[in-house]
Amino acid sequence: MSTMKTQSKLISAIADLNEESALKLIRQRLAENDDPLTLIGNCEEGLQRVGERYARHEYYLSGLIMGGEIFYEVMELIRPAMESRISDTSSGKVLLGTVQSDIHDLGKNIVKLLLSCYKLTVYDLGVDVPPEEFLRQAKKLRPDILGLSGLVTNAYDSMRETIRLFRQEGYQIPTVIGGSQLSKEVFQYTGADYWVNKADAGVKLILRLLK
Amino acid sequence: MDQVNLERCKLIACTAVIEEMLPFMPSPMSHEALDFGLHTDPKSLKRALQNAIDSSAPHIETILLGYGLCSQAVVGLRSGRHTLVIPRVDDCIAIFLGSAAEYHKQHRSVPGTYYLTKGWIEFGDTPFSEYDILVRRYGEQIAQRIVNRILENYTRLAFISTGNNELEHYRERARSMAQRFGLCYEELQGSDVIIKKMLSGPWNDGFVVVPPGRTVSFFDFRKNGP
Repeated sequence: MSTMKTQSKLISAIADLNEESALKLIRQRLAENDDPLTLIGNCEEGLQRVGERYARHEYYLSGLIMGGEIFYEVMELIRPAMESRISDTSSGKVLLGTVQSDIHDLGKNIVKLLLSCYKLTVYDLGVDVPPEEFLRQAKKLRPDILGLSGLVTNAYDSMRETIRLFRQEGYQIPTVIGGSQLSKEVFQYTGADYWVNKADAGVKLILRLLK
Repeated sequence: MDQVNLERCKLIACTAVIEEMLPFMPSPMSHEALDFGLHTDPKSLKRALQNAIDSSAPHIETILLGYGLCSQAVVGLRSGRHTLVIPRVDDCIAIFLGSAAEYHKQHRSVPGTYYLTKGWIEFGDTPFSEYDILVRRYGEQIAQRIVNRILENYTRLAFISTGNNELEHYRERARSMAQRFGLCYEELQGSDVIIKKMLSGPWNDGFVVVPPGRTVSFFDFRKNGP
C-alpha cells in the first residue's frame, strides 16, 4: 500500500517531467502490489500540474507533450496489472477519430489507451476523418458509441457535419464529442449527445453509457 | 464608419499581429499590445483582454480586437460601456490570409499545416524555436522525440508573406525550419483586406459587432446557429 509520501513523489516526478524517476517509482509500486488505479490517479494529478505550469508559462508546449509521453510509458507498465484487476469489464465497441480538418490526437490517444484497459473494443480511425468515413465505418463495424475528437475551432464544424450526416441517414448512435477547448455553446452547436473536455471524464462517461 | 470618431476608437491586439496593423492605423486611434504568450492559455488571454477593455480611457467608445475566436478566448468578454468589433474568424491566421474562407480552404486542403508569419517567428514559442531549449534541457534524443511527437501529423510549414521589408530574412528562417523538421515548405501570399477593413470599416458580415452591455458569444462567430 502506498503512503502519501510515495504518492506525492510520483506526482512530483511527472510534474517535473522526470521520466526516469517516474518509471522507477511505478515499477517499485507495482512490485509492492499497489493499486493501479491509484497509480493512474497520481499520474493524472502530475499531468494536471504540468498543465498548470504550462498555463503559467513555466513550461512550453513541449512540456505538455513530454507529460503525455511519460503517461504513455507509464500506462504500458501499468496495463497488465490494471487489466487483471478490472473484474467489472464492460463489453462494448467504440468508434473514435479526430474529425476532418484537425490532426490533433493527444487526448484521443489517451482515451483509447484507457478504454483498452477496460477491454473495450476501440476502433480508431486516426485523424482528419471525413464525416462520410465515420458513417461508412459505423455501418460496417456497428459500434455502440461514436467518439468525435477535435482541438482546433474548425473541428467544431466538422463535428456538426458528421452528426448531421448520421441523423440525415437515420443512423442512431450515442455521440460524444471530446476536446480540451470545448464548451457548452460548442456542444449545442454540434448537436452531439454528450461532451467532455478531459480524457478521464470521457472514459468514465463511455463506461457509464455502456452499462 | 462615418459616424465613428477615430479618437474614441482603440485597437487591442497581440504583439505578433499589431505590427502588421500599425502601418494602416489612422493616427487619432490609440492602441494597446498584449503579450503573444497569452495565446497558449485562453483563460489568461480572456482575463487580459477583459482588463484591457475595462481599463480603457474614459473617452473610448469603440474597441477593435485584433483577435479571432482564438480557442474561444474572446467568448464571454463583456463589452461594458463600449462597442466591440472583432473579425469573424477563428484565429489570427485568417487575419493574415485576408479571409475566413481562405483559411478554411487551406485547412481543408492540408490540415496538418503549421503556419508561421514574421510575428510568430519573432515572438512565438513554436516547436521549432523550442528545439534548442529542449536539447539543452533533455538532450538530443528526447528533444527529437518530443518535437517528432508534436509534429507527428504535420506535413507542411506554410510561411505567410505579409510584404514587410525583412521578408527574405524570415522566409529563409521558415524554410530552414521546414527542412530541419522534414516538412514541406510553402509560401502563402498574405492579404491586408481584414486589417484595412477593421481599421477603416465598413464592419459588415465579416465582423462581429457587440453593442454596449453585451457578452461575446460563440454563436456570434457561427452565423448558422445552434
